[in-house]
Amino acid sequence: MRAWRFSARQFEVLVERNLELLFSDFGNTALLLLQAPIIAGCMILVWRDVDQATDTLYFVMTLSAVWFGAINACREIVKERAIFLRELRVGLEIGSYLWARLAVLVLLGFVQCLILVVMVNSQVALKGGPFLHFVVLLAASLAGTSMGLALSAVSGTPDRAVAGVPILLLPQILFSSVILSQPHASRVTRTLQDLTFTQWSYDAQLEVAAAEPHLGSILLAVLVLVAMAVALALLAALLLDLGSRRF
Amino acid sequence: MRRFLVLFGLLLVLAGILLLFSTRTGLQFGGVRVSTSADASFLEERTVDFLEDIRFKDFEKAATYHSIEDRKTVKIPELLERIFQIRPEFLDILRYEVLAVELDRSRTRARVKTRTVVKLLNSSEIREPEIIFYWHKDPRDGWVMKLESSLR
Repeated sequence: MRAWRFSARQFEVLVERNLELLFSDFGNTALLLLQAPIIAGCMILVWRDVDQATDTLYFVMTLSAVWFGAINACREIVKERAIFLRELRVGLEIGSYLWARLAVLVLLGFVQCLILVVMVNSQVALKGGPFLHFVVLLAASLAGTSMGLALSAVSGTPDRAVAGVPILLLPQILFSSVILSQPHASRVTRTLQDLTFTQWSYDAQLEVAAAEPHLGSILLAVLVLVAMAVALALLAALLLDLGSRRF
Repeated sequence: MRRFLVLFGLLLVLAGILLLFSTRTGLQFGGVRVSTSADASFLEERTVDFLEDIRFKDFEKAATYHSIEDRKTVKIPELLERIFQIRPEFLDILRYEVLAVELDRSRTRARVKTRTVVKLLNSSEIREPEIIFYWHKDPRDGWVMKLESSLR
């Protein structure tokens, strides 16, 4: 399929270019990175009072990671659609373009999740140690990034893409077991729960924090999140391809 | 691409240092500790040593964290029974971690907050008690534990 064609050479060049753009747009990059310490600071203020990590802390951390990924990515394609279309006419492979975008955004998400986990753990000791919490949150952030790229691929303007982020994030909150516990949920709700990143990430974090953590469950959740991220990235490529045919 | 890989490698190293080698009072690489407070770092290490000793039921060694005078009278198994509400032979300490180390303004008294995950072997019940260990700086013996004060 044209949407998923990949050229390693193009990928390398595009990764370099995206890195260059990330560093040159210092103001925007700094603003994105600043989200992590600000949100972590707010969490510390709330949870330091109870002096322990509660389940809701893990949920808020999960939601923050998905938010980081989605907001980092939601403008990335739509803001340079004209350049993308021009380059597409001279042989750009959509797969290379999208994976290069994702690779650089993953770096940004990596730093944000690292700041979040290190800051929160320094004041409110995360049960099970910070490392596995970081791995789970990074996977959640990756899934959020792919979701943001898919949103960016279908949005007409950067403003619309930003406005679309809450619409995609609200179901992530609503269909989580924090809002409605499993025994009371209908089959439809439970199916939707299984499709949300927050549920997998939250469950994995609870498992990390458990007295006897089961590493297999944590690994499964991380793999599911990565699979969701790959599926959404492929969807984004498909949407980009379909969108480009209109021009 | 090389720049991307270098950056990613550096971030991995940074994450490894911050997530795998960090302790409540600084960083630890094998036997080497980097900390802003030597006392806090020492107390964290000593508390972990103590928990390790009771995990392996080395009560003689566990008694050595007390002052020389107290060592003669301290009965670690009895104290453990009072802390965990279970006889030591039924106690399986699975994990422990230091949550916080606090020193007072005179820096001669300290408390180390810990979380321990224990399994009661006679019922398979899992408990996660948080225990605060109290230490004071003895002019002669240095930092010594007052395990009994943790029970009061």
